[in-house]
Amino acid sequence: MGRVRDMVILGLIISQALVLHLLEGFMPVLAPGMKLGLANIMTLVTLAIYGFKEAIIVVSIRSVLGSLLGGSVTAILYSLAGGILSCLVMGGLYYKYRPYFSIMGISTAGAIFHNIGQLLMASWMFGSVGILFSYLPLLTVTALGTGFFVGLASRYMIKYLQHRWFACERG
Amino acid sequence: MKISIKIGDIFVYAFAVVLIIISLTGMYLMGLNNDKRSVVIEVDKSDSYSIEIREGMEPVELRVDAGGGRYNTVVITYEEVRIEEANCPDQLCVKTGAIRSPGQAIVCLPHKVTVTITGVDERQSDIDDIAH
Repeated sequence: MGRVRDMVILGLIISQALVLHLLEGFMPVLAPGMKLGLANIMTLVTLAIYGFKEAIIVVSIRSVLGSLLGGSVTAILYSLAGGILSCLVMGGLYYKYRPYFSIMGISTAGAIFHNIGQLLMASWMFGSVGILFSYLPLLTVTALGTGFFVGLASRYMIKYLQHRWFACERG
Repeated sequence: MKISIKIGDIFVYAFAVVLIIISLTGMYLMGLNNDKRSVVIEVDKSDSYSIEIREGMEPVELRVDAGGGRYNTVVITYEEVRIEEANCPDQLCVKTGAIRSPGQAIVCLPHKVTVTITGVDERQSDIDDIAH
């Protein structure tokens, strides 16, 4: 597969992730930090059809642009911390322990670590561990639900892309 | 397409449960002492005293000696800190009244005395607003 094609497809993936990220911003939230994590679908898809490095690139660009377009500048730090930590965990699980995990499990782990990353960043910025402890229970429960459905959505998308789109190149 | 739960997924859910238990325990332990304020009294930027504010503490009355017979009387209770009396010419420190939250201060310019509350009072934190 050519470089230009990779670049175009990664660009498309990033723009889709951005749109999901921004759409999510319009949704009402029950508690601060509580989100669906739809943009995680694109991270998982990138992990599955490209690789770890590309997924990190997608997450970083999506976090920076998404925060600039839809939020405040400080949101970049939270978004990056959560995104990269969750991407590391999902990449590790996907490439090392794929036989033992379903996509839903990997996505749930990613959602949990996204929260941990964000909260660690917040605790570090405010110099208080209390934030970590007080938000984690609620956010973890949410992550179990959203992570499962994000994983389900990613599974359908990965299956479709692998069959229809990359069948000729990747076999 | 059937939804299959694999062995690793159970670990993810178990991890989530452990995480919830740990953070709830942590929250409980932090909740016991989430009020960590203390009063710092400085005279001419050099002498400084620090007094911790604890729940159920006895009201403390301190006579701060600013040298040359000049004094300020500081009263510290769990609820508030104020300068009760002073022999400075402008009496601004007395008129400032009571301070309660971290970051607030009473200043007596003629005596070069400052009374500041430091630390965190997580009971009335506004962290949510900032983070959101």
